[in-house]
Amino acid sequence: MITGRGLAFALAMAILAATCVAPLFFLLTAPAWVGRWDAYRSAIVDARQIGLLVNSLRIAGSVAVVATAIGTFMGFLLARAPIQGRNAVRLGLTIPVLIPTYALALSWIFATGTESFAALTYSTVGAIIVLAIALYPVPMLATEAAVRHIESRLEEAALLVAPAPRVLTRITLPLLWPAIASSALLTFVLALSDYAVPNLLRQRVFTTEVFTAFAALYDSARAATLAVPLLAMTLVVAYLIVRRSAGVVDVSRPSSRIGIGFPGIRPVALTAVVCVFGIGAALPVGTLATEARSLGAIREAIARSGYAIGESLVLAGIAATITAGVALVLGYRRARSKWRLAQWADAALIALFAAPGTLIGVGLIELWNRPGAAGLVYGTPAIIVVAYLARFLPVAILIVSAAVRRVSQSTEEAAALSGAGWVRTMRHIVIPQIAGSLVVAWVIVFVLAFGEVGASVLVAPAGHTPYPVHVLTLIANTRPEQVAALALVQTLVVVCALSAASVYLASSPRRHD
Amino acid sequence: MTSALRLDAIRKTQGRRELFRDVTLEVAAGGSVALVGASGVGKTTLLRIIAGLERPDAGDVWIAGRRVTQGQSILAPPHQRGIGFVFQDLALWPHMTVAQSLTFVLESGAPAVSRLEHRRLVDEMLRLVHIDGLGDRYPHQLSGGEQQRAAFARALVHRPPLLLLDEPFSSLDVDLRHEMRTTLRELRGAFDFASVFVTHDREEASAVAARTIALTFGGGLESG
Repeated sequence: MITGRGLAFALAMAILAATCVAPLFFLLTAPAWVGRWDAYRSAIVDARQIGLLVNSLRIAGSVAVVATAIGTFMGFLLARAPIQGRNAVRLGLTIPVLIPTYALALSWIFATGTESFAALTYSTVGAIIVLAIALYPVPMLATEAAVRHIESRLEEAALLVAPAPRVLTRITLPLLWPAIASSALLTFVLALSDYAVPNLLRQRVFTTEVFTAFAALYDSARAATLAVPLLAMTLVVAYLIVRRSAGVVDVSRPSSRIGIGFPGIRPVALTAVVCVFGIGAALPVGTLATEARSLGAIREAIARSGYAIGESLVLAGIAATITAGVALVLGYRRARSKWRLAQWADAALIALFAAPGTLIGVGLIELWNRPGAAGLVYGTPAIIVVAYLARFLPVAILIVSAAVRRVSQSTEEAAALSGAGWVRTMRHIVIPQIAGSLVVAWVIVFVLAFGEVGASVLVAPAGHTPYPVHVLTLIANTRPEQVAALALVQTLVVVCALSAASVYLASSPRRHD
Repeated sequence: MTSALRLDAIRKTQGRRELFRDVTLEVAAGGSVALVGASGVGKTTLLRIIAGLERPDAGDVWIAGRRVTQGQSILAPPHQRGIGFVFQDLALWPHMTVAQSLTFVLESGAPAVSRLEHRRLVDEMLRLVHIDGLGDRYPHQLSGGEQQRAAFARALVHRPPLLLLDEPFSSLDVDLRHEMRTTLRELRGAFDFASVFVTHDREEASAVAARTIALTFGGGLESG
């Protein structure tokens, strides 16, 4: 008998398979379909490929080191320093990860566009700086959460025999290490998969090569060749993240007390917050605003590109809504799974999230650009929604599954004993307890989808160019102030959406999760 | 003779609620006191004030004849008070083996002492609490009773003159509880430390301490 639970799971799995898994499968097997087996060999032994690998690793590795150093320090301060208006400060410091990376790269180009910085503008160092700014919030938020979850008694037990600095280095930091390492690895793969920054700053890395191979040369076998090491690396790193996250720190509940406090570091904390916020958020936004020069330019940008903004917002909203629904079913299933190999499912989801957009774009074309029902989707804006799902469904599933794990299973068992079926239990017991996380997943997917470039630049049908792709295509033949105004508008939309969500979450009386 | 612990008119409020006031207590060197009281009366808070992990609103704390807390001022930080503490949830460090935990305590207090001497002290302590041979295990690899013994070993390895125990046996079954009381008596015989034992169980209080004192809501101490 088909149950509501079985049907929902089957449908959700079908969506995950069709949008996330199948495109990459088709991409990786593309050379085999046309008999080009040599492509796989060249993925490993080709000298050009190795050079590309070294350059990609160098940039991503440096970004991971710099972003983790900044993020860990700021996360620790957010958790332990006496900072007033902590929620607002956290929101401000999180802005860089929500600004589309192309907008950050543009602001970098504008800011260093003078003669004295000319050598820096289109350089590896520039790409590292911009990506580190974009990604430091990842380790920052992870570190803050981990610090808050350290049971304060572990530190207090040490404070009875050792001074605070020794407790910090021997007890606190080792307990934080799994979270720091995981976030560093996540930062690494996110830097590896970014397309907009290396593209704008003229760096040859895997993601830009995939785009060139497919969009310029129509060589899907070459794109597959490039995909092999990249996907292998993301899968290995994702597995390491999952292994590390299962480390010694119990993240199931926050500590009831604060642990070691550092009342004396308030001035240091304030200085650090001002500097990081200034460099990470105020400077890029200020640069774009300065470059746009006037409100008139912004009005003109909106007038010229208003349709693209509206369509992108609608498509991102549709994608976020579908994603939240699918993630609810699959995240619940993952959280309640007692399957021994479920860790691999988490690793696969992280790897899918970290898979570069350009790879996913090529994979989607391979899968969906064919006659029949698939072709009907491919030629319409629906393919953009599919691209957004392909990129961000995995992260939404991870968010929801983490939330469901915090819901006591006995609350569901009590509902089941009273005669409630799965659908009713989900509706009245589970969803109310994870509503906050569902909203967070929706907002994150919406914001990321609204700024997505890598996949949508390849699959967008004529006449339906998403806003960030629209801006990227205008860069070459539009006045800088117009481009800056367009990027600024996108940044402001993202910041406004995030602020609205934060206000809603902060004011919501039902903060179960 | 200098007392191991003296509390002078300690007062503590939490929010608007006064937990206790005028708490005055003296524990002689080698003496033992059990502190009983209902849940939420502030027993744990009083222990944390003695340890220097919390500040009182008023009153002084003296340890071994030295004033360590004066009103809201902490004159000696926790690690300079010569205290061992067994937490209710044990608070064993999950990233360290039992031996590493004990070594950490010894190195923090006496960094100049040789590693060999530290190792000897660790082995001796593990033997005294009957978990010799388990020094290379992590907390999650120990049974409940072994974790209790590891917590006692960590609290006493640096030979503190005062041991504070915050309901350490509350999660144990009856047999294990009796076993641990015996171990506590053995350790007291070996090290002659003074102790303050917090519990809500009067029977346990009389079994582990020579003197029982009750803490009452919003009040002070009463001989039990």
